[in-house]
Amino acid sequence: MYKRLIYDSALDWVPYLAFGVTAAVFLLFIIRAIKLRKESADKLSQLPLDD
Amino acid sequence: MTTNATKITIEFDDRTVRRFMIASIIWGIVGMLAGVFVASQLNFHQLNLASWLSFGRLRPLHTNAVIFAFVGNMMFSGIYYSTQRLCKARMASDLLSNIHFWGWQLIIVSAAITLPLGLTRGQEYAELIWPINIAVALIWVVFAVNFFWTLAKRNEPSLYVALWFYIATIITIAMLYIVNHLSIPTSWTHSYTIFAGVQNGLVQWWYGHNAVAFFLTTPILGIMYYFLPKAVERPVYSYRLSIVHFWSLVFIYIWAGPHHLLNTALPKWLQMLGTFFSLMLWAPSWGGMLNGLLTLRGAWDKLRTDPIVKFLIAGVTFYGMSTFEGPLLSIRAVNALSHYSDWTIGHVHAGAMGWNGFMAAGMFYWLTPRLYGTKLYSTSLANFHFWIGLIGILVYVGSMWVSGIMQGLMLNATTPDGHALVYPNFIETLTAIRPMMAFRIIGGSLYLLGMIIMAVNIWLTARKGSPVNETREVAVIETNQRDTMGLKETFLNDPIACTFAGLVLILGWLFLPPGADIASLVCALVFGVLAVKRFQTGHHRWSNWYDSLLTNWLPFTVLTFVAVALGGLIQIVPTVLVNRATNVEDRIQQPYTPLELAGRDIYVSEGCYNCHSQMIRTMLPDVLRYGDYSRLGESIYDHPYQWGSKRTGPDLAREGGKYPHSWHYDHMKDPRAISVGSNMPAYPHLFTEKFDQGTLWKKIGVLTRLGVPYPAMSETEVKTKAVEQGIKIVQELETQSRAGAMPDSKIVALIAYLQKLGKYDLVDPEQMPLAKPEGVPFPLKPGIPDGYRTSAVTK
Repeated sequence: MYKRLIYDSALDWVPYLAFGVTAAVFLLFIIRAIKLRKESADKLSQLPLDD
Repeated sequence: MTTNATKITIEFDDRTVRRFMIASIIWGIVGMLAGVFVASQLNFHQLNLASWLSFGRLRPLHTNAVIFAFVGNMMFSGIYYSTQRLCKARMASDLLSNIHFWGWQLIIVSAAITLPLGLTRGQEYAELIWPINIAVALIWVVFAVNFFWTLAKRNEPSLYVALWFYIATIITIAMLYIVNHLSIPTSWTHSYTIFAGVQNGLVQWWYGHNAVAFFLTTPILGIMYYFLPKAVERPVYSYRLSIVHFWSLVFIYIWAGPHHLLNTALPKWLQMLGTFFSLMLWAPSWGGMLNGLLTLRGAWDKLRTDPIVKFLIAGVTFYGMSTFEGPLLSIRAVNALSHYSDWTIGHVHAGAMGWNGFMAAGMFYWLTPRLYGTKLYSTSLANFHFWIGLIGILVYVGSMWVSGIMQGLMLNATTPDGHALVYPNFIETLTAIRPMMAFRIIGGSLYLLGMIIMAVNIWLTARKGSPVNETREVAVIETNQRDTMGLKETFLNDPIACTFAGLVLILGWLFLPPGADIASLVCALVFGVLAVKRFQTGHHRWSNWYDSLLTNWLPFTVLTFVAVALGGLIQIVPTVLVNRATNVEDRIQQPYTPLELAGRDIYVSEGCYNCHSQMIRTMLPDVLRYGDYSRLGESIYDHPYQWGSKRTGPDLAREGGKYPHSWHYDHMKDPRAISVGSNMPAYPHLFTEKFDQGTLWKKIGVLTRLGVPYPAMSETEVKTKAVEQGIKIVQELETQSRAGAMPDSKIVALIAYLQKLGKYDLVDPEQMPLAKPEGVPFPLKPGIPDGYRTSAVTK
C-alpha cells in the first residue's frame, strides 16, 4: 500500500541534461570572466564610486 | 572615450527615490504589524475579531504587504537612485516615474482592501484578483519602459553589474507574473486560473520560488553591488566573481521551483530537477555573499562604528545563511521533516527580515542624509535599531526552527514496527509548539519596534534638512559610443543562431512523435558539429558578441531572457501539454456539484489553504495519519489546486465522509468544542451569509471551457441542483439534531465541499483514449512526461 514502483523513463534524463547545460553555461562564463581584462574589470568596479 | 564630449549638468530625479523610500517604510510597518497580529492570532484565537480580520484573510495581506509593498518600494527606491548614477542620466520620463509610483501605491491599497474582503485567487503570493493583476502588469511595463529608456540614453557606455541584476529582475518578473496569473474571469472580482492540479502547482511554484529569486533577491543583489561599495568607499571585491555570480544565479535559480513540491504526487523527474538545481544554488549564492563580505577588506573597523555597514554586512550574512538553508531544505529527506512546518516559515523570515529588511535599513540610512542634505538625526538610534532588529530576527527564526523540527519529528514519529503513529492526535503536536509560537510574537515585535525607530529617525532627519535633488556635470557621450548593436546585429549572428536552432532541435527530440524525434536529434548533433566548426573559424566573432554585452543593453537583455526562459520551458511545457489520461494514475477526481463548487470557492476565499494542505505525501507517517497517498488524478480538476504549503491544521485531502455533517457544523461554529486546544478561528458569519448563486452558472461555464467534464446545464438547473443538495444536507443535519441551517447558507455549501474531498473514480489508463489536445499539431507521446506512472503498482 505504501510503496510505488517507479520505472525509468526518458524524462528521468532531463535533470542530467539540465545539469550538463548548466555546467556548460557556468564554465563558459567562468572563462569569460577570467578573460576579462584587468583594466576593464577595474574600470567597471569603480563605476559606483565615480562621483 | 569621452574626452571631446560636450559636458552638461543634469539634475537627478531624487523625488521619486524619496517617495518610494517613504512608501516602503510606511508599508513595511503596516505589513509587519499585520505579521505580528496574525502571529498573535495563532496563539489567541479570540483575535479573529471579524470575518475580515480572520487569520486566513490577513495572512495573505501580511505576505503581500511585506513582499510587494515593503520590498517592492524599497527595490524601486534603490533602482531609481543607482540607475541614474550608473547611467549618468536622469530617469527618462518623469511622467512614467509618477505613474509607476502612484500606480504601485494604488495596487497596494487595492490589495489591502480586497484581501480582507476574502477576494482572492487562492494561490500564495498570487492572491490578488484579476483586475489588480492587469494593473500590476501594466505598471510593471511602465517601469520597464522608463528603465530601458534610461539605459538607452545613458552617458556611461559600460553597464555595471547592478544594472544586470535589475534587467534580470524586470524581464523575469514580467514573464513569471503573466504566466502564473493567466485566468478566465467569472466576475469582476473572481476568476479561475487556467491551470489545474499538478500543472497549477508546478506553475505556481515556478512563479512563487522565482518571486523569491527575482523580486526578493536579484534586485537586492544589484543594490548590494551598488550601495555596499559606496558605504565602505571601495570597489567590489572581485568584478570577475560578480560576472560568474550573475550568470550562474540567473541560470540556475529558475529551475529550482519544484523543490516546493517534494514527496508529493509531482513526477519524480521534476522533483529530481528541483533538488538538483537547488543544491547547485549553493555555489552562486555563496559566491555573491563572499563577494559582498570581502568588499569590506581593509575596512572591517567600520563594522564597529558605522550602523549602515552593520546593516549591510548583516544583511549579506543573512543572505548567505538563507541560501545555505534553502538548498538544505530541498533535499528530499530533510524536506520530509521540514515541509508544511514552521521551519519553512523561519527560513522565509530569515530571508525577508535579515536579508531584505536589513539591506533596506542600510540603504535608507545611507540615502536619507543625501536625499535631504543633512546628517542622520541619530546614529545611536540607528545602532539601537540594528541590535533590537537582530535580536528580533534571532528570536523569531530560532523559535521557528525549534517549532518546525519539533512538530515535524512528532508528526513523522512511528512506533518501532512502523504500523502506528506515536502522536496520532494532531492537536498534541500543535500544543507542543505553542510556546514557540509565543516567542515568535516577541521576536516579530522587537523587529517591528526597530522599524518604527527607523521611521522616527528618518522622519526627524528629513525634518532637519530639506529635499535635495543631486545635480552633476556629466560628459554626454556620442550615440555611436554606446549600444552599437542594433536589432540586426543582436539577433543575426552565429552565437544566437546556433543557440536558437540547437534549442529548437532538442525540443523536437523531446516532443516530436517517434521517428521525427530521432531525426530531430540527429539534426541537433549534425548542427552541433557545424556550430563547433563555425566557432573554430570565427571564434573572434563569438567573443566580440559576448564582449559587446558589457556596453549593449539589448543583446544583454535577450541573453538573460533566454537563460531564464529555458528553465521554465523544460519544466513546464511537458507537464502543461501532456495528455491528462496518462497522468491520472489509477484515479480521477469526481467534478464538484454546483453546491460543492460554491463551497470550494468559500474555502478558497476564507484562506483555509493557509493552514490546511490537500496533499498526502508518499510517506508512511502521512499515509498512517491521513489515508492513502494522493494521486495526480485526484486534483486534476482543481482550479486552483489546494495542495497547500503549511499545516497549522491537519491535511484535508481525504476529509470527505470522515465525519458527519454535524461535526463540521459544530466545528466551524466553535472549533474548540470539537477539538480541545485548537487554534482555528470560528466562522460564525458562514451561518448567516448566503453563498453566491448568481455567478455559479458562469463559473461552471468557465470550468467547462477549461476542461472539467460538466454536463450541459441551464442557469436554472445549476441553481436548482445547488439548492436541492443544500436542502438534503439541511435535512441530514436535522436528523443529527442541528436544526435551523439554511439550504442556501455558506456553511451548508462548505460542508458539501468538505464532504466531497477525496472522492474519485477508479480508471484504467490503458483503456483511456489517447486524446490529441486541440491546437497541438501532433499526437503527444503517451510516455511524456511521466510514463512510468501508468505502470505504477499501488495495491
